[in-house]
Amino acid sequence: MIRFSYIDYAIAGKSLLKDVSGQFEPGKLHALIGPNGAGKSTLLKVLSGLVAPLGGQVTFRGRSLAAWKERDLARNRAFLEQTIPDEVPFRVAEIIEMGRYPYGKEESKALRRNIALRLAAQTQVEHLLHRQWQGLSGGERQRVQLARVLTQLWTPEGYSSKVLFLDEPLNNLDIAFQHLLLNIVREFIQSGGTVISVLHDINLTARFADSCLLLQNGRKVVQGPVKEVLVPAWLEPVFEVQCNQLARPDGSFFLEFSPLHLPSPIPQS
Amino acid sequence: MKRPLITYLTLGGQLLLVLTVAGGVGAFSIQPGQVLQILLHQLAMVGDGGFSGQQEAIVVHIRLPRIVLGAVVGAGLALSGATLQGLFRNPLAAPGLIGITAGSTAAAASFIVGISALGLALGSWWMQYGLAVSAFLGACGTGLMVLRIATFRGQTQVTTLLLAGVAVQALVIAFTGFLIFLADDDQLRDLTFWTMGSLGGATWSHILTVVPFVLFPLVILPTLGRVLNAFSLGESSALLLGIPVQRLKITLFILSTLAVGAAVAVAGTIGFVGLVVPHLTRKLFGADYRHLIPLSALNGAILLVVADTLARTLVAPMELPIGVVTAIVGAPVFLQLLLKNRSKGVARA
Repeated sequence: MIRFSYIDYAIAGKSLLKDVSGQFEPGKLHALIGPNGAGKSTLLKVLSGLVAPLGGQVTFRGRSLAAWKERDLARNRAFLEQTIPDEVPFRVAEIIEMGRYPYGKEESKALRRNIALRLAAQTQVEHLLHRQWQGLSGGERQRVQLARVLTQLWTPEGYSSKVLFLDEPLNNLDIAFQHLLLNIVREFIQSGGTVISVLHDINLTARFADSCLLLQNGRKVVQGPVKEVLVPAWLEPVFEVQCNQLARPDGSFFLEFSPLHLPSPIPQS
Repeated sequence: MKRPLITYLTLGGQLLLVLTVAGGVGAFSIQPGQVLQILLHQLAMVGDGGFSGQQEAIVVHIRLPRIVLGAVVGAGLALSGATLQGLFRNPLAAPGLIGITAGSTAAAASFIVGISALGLALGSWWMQYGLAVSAFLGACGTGLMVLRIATFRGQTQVTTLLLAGVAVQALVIAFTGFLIFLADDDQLRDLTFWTMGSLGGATWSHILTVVPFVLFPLVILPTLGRVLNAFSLGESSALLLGIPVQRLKITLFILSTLAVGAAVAVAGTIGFVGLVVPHLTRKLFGADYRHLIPLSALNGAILLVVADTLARTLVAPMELPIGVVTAIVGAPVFLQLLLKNRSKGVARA
């Protein structure tokens, strides 16, 4: 689905990605994990075509990203960004409908509205449709944005061969909505889509993701199935923590972390 | 907006009403009904009675050119303000803020001072046209310069665009200051009046020269309304939706520069219309750019015709500079808006 080779990227002389290569197969949830500043969000931006890499190449469905028309690309991949401006002078319904922009005027208003409504229901923001963006909480905004990016990729036949990029999608969401989002992601994958997501919560990654790409200081450390990557041998040196993998009765596993260097106790005088 | 058609018809009707009333107001008072008859007679050659030849001459050759020019200039300033606010995703963006207006003032000052420095004595017609052309070129020149500064490797940074505008503006204002220092009393007077703006001395040929520069953006910009709406989600979101962002930025900037340049060229600098009218329009009719731009244009036209009518009647037989009137009306309205938003901001925080 997506192949990338020797990706280099830098901002203001600071190298953010160095020689990163790999590929993402269709029909899976691929998690990008790594400590702060590892280059996860930057890699997501490069892979989605939001920024052009300084070196290396990205191919999307066998065709170089640069060869895709903007509009065609927009119909086939969407991106849930981490930051959205505070002041968007529109109502939630209008914002979700903006996701249909790449389909132009050939699509009827009624259809556009219908799709937006359907996805608003799925992300549980139906009750917010007539509210202004400014008045929403962080979690509500996150769900509205999710509805918008799903709207962008929706087809009556499902999400076959569509790719969804998520940049820390669990931000601002409470536990119930975190699970809602990840379940929506799984449904997206079941109906043919592929998801590439930056995730911070290793245990949710272990539970929901299929494969992991571990980054450190702009370089790829390892990429592989969740079971092989989320092990103390890889995680401990990269995250600088102590880590135990524990099995659940059903065969799944979870991880327990503790800091490597405990803060020294405050000296008592 | 629920019923766009009704809004357009209402505002269009208001504009027509304002035009008719303004056509009757002045030293020689004419009934609005008669003005309407004269207009109909001119446009469709129907109905010959109900007004005298003198009344017709006053309306058609003296008042109407000025009123129509006011409407066109007001529309141009307001639509470019609305566009720039969309481009910068900043409600404070206005033609005056990014150096376009200051650039045209500098060019106009250069013309006024330069002509007499060269020992040329031009007739008033040449003087007026020369001033208009240099002001237009000054606006476009400054606009392009700001755009060039803010564009690097084919990407225009919107923040840099705003900052470059402010910096270039400071520079051209300094240059204008230097010209003022050089100017003699007559030049100074010309310049001062020009910077306060005036629709006086308008002719139909004036209108014909400025109309294309306002009409063209007025037709094109609303077609970009949906794009501008999506642009409010931020530049990267727009890009991800498949919008050719760079081309859009250049188009928006050039079209609004054209409209402002033309408006300033024929009417001098008229402040606050470009800032306040889009704001009010957004408050009244919503932020959807498909409607915001044409409705701002309509409101700008109405506001400027009213302001100009006040300017020429309040202290008759003298005339107030129109820039003074728009600032007196505009600044308090704008302040009130800010105060309202301030209380909203507190409630949210």
